[in-house]
Amino acid sequence: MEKALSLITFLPMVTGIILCFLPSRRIHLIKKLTCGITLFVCAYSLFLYKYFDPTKTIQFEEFAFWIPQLNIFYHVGIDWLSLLLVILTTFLMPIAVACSWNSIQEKGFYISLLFLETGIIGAFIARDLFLFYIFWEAMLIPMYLIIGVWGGKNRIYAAVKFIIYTMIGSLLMLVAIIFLYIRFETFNIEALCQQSAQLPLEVQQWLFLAFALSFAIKTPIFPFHTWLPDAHVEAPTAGSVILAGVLLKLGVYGFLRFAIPLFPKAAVFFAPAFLVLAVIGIVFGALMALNQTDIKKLIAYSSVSHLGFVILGIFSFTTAGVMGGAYQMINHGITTGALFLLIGALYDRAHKRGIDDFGGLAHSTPIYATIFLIATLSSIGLPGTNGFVGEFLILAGAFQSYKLAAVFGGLGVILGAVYMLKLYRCMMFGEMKAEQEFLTDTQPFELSYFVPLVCLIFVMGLFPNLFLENLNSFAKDFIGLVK
Amino acid sequence: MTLTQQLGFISPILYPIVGAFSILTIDLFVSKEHKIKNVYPLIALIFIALSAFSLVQSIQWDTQNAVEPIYVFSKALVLDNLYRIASLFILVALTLLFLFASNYLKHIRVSEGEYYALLFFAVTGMMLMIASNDFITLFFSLEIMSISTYILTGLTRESSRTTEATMKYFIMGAFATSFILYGLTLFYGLSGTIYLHLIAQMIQIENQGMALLAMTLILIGLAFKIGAVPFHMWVPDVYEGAPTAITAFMSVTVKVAGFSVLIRFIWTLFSGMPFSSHLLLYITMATLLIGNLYALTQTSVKRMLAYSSISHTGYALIGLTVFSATRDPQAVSATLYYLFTYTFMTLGAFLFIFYIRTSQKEAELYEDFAGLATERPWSAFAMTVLILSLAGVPPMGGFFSKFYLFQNALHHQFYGLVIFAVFGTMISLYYYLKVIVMMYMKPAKNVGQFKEETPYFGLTLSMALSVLFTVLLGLAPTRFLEWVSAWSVGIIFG
Repeated sequence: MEKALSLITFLPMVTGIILCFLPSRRIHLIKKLTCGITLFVCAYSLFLYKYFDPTKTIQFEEFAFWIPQLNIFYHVGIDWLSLLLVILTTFLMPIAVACSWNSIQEKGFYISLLFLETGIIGAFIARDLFLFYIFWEAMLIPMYLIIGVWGGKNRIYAAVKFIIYTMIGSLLMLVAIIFLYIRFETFNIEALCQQSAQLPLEVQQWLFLAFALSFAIKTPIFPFHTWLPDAHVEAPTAGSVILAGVLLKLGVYGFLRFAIPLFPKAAVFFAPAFLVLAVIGIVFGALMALNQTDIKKLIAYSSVSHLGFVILGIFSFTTAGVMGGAYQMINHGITTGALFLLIGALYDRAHKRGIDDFGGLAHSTPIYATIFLIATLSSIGLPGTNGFVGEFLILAGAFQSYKLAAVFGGLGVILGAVYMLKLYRCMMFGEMKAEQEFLTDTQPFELSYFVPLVCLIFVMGLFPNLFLENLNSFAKDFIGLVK
Repeated sequence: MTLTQQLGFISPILYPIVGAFSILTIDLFVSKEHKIKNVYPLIALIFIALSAFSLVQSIQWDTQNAVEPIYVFSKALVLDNLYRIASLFILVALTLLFLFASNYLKHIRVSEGEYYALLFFAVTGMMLMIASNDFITLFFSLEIMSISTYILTGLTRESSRTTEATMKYFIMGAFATSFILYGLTLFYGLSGTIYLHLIAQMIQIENQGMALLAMTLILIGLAFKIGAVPFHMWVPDVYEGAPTAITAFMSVTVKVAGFSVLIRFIWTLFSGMPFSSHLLLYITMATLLIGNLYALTQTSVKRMLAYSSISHTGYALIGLTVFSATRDPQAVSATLYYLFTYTFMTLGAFLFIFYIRTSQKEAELYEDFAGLATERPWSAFAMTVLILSLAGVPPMGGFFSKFYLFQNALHHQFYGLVIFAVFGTMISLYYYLKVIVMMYMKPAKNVGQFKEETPYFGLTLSMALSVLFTVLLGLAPTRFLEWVSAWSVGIIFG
């Protein structure tokens, strides 16, 4: 139990390295091993959930010497936010493996997924800024390979755009990290938070912008979102699920863990700008989604819109807003993950994904339509689903600080309903298209990963306090840092 | 000190010479296909091991007390930790090259004795150069290194491009060396002494202008050797034309030697002079800019790697710029660490190009690498690791060495320079990733086009070692950091 975090982080990578040595023909064994390891890691992380002590903040800490000459240590630990995100990651990974089971038969894909899992979990648990940076950059490579090798027609463009865009942001963050190290001789996050809050405003502003650029590209915040539609559309299903479900949360996590606590004065200074950008993102994302004919691109833009909500909640700096933003992160992961899985299932059968290519699916594939409906309603934010809890809290919090932003946010909710319901109507109701008789309904194998997602949607919507309760103390601490 | 004692001190330099002559002599007396030729690599590696061992033994670790360096041959040579560490880098590169030499030589029409001897002579020249304390030794060891390298460039006489590369290198190299000679003679005229460690105090104040001129001339010559802008024009053509194994060796060792001499000059001479750090700053910025920009448009991977070498020279020069402005030993440690990582990255990358042969010829253009990952997954993975390290992606050695450099530069408030270097890194991402795109994401032009001739075992070993050290230098740098920090022990006190 003491080394639980390191186990969760490095077991996928070690498995990946072992899998490299297995011959490529034994793809069945490789798939089973990958699935088994990811499920094991998921179960292990649920243990962390069980043993989490709400009274303490950072737990399961591990500390080791790494590069003492530069004060760099291997220091990991989790608090409630990190725990939720780690569980989200480990939960979505086996689903990603399962949904590629029949479509991708190359071992490199599964090895990349395992390395990706290591990188992402490492980024969520790092308590040393240098270690965080290493994981942050390192997990880009497997994602780049996943999009670029196993993606759609335009995959190389999307993959290269994704990686170069993200790395450019990260390089400026590196300069800021080095600056902090030089000033304060440490990479430890807690120590830095205490000391860097004393920096004068001008210095904080530059450093905040350097960090914020990198996270804004990742989240994504308008206008740094242009890599997202391409990457999401061209990625294979599993890639889209992980990209939308987890990778985008890394950007928000970066804001919550680093950019804002390290530079609170600058965060407060730039908050109006971020709120404006968030609102623009919400409305812009929704309007763009309304216009799409490619279903995957529509959901990609809906991600931009949803994450605009999250940023809105966080930068409102109210308890409700921050709680809602953090909770909505998890919701979005589940909901959009489900949506991408659904589209992936359809694409595997029909090999097209235009809105106009389908119609009346509710008649021919009722189970599929039902699951799709649940995911749609969660995306819209229907009460009873997880989306409602997050959106409500965000809007409540935003309304306390900037009423106008909350009004536009509400507009975004309405627009969200418009494009999602339009999508549902075009696909599920109406005339059946000619080739559709050959589309089979959801198989039991696929249900194995849809059912947990659907259950979570309802559980998180009806019993949010399972997750929300401890976010309250997190939000209070967070706002205490800022004020 | 008796002669025997002094010879004992310079034994690391003597071993390569003895090795060269022994192999040459054996080669004289045996027939062409004699079995003893298979033993040559072993002999060569033994001499390298002896040399390296005696270097390691003599490294002084004591950083607390001032340690006097060892002067030999009436102070012609100074044996300090800088010489020992830099020579070790060069010997490591030579080892990686010799590991596959026997198989390589079977394929090219070069007599074995020449190959080993020339490489040993080049290395001897480099080691002497790094250890030299007076102008004459510096000049003739520079020439030994240069001429050996010129010959090595044209060794295989394989195409007109090779001949062109050799001629370019020779003529421009001779020209650049003459600049160094001119600068050295000016310094002699100004100070009346040829000993590096004495010159600084002998130059009169009113001669500062002339001293500045002399310094610039020497900088020009040395910048040529290391491939810094604007004296870099030979690098792409020579790297492209030379046989790839030689390019691999040359791109690394000549740079290490050149940088070491620069470090010595800066420490003893330049850092006291006005404008020295300005000159270095402009050269650094120009090198970073040109190296990264020109690599963007290349269609040949070999040429791209040549320009990337230029850009890496730029990064390493950041350390020297900081050093000449501040005389902070940490700056040189960072530069040495960067050079060490650069050794493995670039050597490995060039070896990879040498390793991958399509059915007709050496793979050179980007398209020649298309689809490599499906046919040779391990090779593609090795190249990916090296490329990512060159680009500076964590957790490889390239990232950590850049980080260490930037951290030192920012510590001395060279903000603009670091931001400039960061922009250079951003640009470089594109052309490095292009290789990965080609290998993994494009289909092969012809199925089975990567000829499955049995790859040399030694070559695989060299590449594996390069990749291993690249990763080690990134993930476990502590031990190596100790090594490069020891350089300042026993340097010449000016």
